[in-house]
Amino acid sequence: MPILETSGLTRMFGGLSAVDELDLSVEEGEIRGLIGPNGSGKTTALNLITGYIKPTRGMVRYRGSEVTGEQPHDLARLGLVRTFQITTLFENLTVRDNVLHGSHLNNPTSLVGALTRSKRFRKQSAEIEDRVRELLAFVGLEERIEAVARDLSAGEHRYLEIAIALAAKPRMLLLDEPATGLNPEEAAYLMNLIRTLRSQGVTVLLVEHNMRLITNICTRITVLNFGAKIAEGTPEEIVGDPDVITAYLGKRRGA
Amino acid sequence: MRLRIPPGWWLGGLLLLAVAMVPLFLFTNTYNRGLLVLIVIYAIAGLSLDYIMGEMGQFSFGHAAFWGFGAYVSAKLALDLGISPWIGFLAAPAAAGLVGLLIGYIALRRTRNLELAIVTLGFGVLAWTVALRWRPVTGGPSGLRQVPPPSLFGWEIRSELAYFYFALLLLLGIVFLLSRLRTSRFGRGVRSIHENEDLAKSIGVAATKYYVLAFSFACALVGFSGALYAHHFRFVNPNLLGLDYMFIFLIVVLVGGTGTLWGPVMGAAIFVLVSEWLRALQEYRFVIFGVVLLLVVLFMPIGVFPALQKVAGRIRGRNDEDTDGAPAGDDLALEAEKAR
Ligand SMILES: Nc1ncnc2c1ncn2[C@@H]1O[C@H](COP(=O)(O)OP(=O)(O)OP(=O)(O)O)[C@@H](O)[C@H]1O
Ligand SMILES: [Mg+2]
Repeated sequence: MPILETSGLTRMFGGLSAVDELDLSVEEGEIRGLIGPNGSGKTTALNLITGYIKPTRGMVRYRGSEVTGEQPHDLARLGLVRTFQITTLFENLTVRDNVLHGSHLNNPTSLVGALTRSKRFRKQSAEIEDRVRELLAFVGLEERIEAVARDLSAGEHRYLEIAIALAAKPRMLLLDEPATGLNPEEAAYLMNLIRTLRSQGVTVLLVEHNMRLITNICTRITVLNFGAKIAEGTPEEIVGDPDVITAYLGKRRGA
Repeated sequence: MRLRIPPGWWLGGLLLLAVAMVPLFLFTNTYNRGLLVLIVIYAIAGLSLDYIMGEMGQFSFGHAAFWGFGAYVSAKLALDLGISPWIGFLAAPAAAGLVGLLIGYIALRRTRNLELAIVTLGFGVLAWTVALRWRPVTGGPSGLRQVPPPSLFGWEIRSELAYFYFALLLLLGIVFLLSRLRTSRFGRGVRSIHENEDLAKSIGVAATKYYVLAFSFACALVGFSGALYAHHFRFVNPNLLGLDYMFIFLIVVLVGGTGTLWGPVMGAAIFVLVSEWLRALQEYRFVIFGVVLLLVVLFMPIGVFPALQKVAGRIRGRNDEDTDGAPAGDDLALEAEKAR
């Protein structure tokens, strides 16, 4: 059974279909690539799946139940967590506090415990704190734990975003162009992180512009053009697909 | 492991101690001691407005209306039903919190830009009009008089000094709880929505629910402050719900500094003492309020308390960097380490 499924998913903006009758089916444990030229509807598709915008029509199923139009925070509770194309952090907080605030769903402390600073509360807080350190070590930011988020480099921003998302313990992670603004080494490091995540059982939907990056890491790739799916298959199949080549070349010529 | 007391607590604690000692020496007559009570009551109202402004990044034009509403609720219960002010001190915040829940539900359901400010403005005008016009219940323009003071073991807390220390104790408790609320799951949720709502939702914070609850909490707190007012000054009238007090609470928050707990306490003290000094100019209070707000925003946009913290931080040298950093800095991490 696929972990995520959309059928006939459509979103109109005025007369334009930003996402057009999209049927998508992602298996548990995949790293699925979602690619396409600028404006082809990748971000819109992600917004539809994670509840940030409502579809004009169509359906989203997650782990066997319909979740169309549900609120983002409810989906996050079910393990469906996304990141944003434009770097999105708690900019005024430290790196530690970013992940601490990201741990909302895995924070078992009670209000009374927090107000009284009960022993139980302190113990639970220490556990959360441990997990925050673990996550920061995982993305390679343990040295920057006290830094304020807005002072981080572009690469560090992206790693921190991932750490925040991971703090919610996702079952499925949707990443919107996480390598934007990274140099090749940073991008490679990021891709390695994503691979490790997969080996830990997280399913990934990766929106990416850069064909080279995505063909390296994905199990399967879905290609969008003008909101519609024009191809789907293994990286090898996609690279050789004439429709895909036309879509990308056509776009480039038009630009 | 170094036991760290956040610089705010040192400053604030010293300030409070000073304030607590002052009445014995400086404020020698009943009238002056009444000002002290006023400082504490305004401080609580300011803290609650700052919860909306500093923690939520929102604004309520109806804050005085909730304050006055709390005052009327407690006064009315005591006068008509003979209910003890102690129950009133619970009923007022409960009632104000409930109305806040409703208003928040209306205003915070969709976007959260100006909706809350506008809806609370509407509520404020409405509540004030009702207080003025619904004579049989509210007493009309002259309000309600003879509101009884609370009594403790048969002894009425009537004297200025006794009420001051009673209210001061409550204020301390409120500051303490507010500071701990910040590191609770709820407090962090609210903060994360303020910082970045989209991101907060993506990691599972039910943004609307949290904001509605947070707003309701602030309304309850100011309702409590209103009840404290009613049972000390022993009257309520429609003015309590009006623009005068809205201005006062805003000045208290902005002069003291938003996003800090001690800021509104300091702002309240400054406001009451300075406006007492300018009492001859009563007629022009709106002009003065306006000018004060303008000056504060222009010259000390962060407020007096954070400015002092900065200075204190500088005096102590660079090694204490969190002094001028985010006021809500998470000292819990250190506590957590201690607990290990
Ligand atoms: N809120 C909106 N209102 C109107 N049109 C929109 C809106 N969001 C997206 N669009 C349009 O929908 C189309 C798809 O946009 P989308 O952002 O999903 O593309 P994308 O594949 O993510 O592009 P990019 O690679 O540039 O990020 C574009 O034509 C865009 O202009
Ligand atoms: Mg996009």
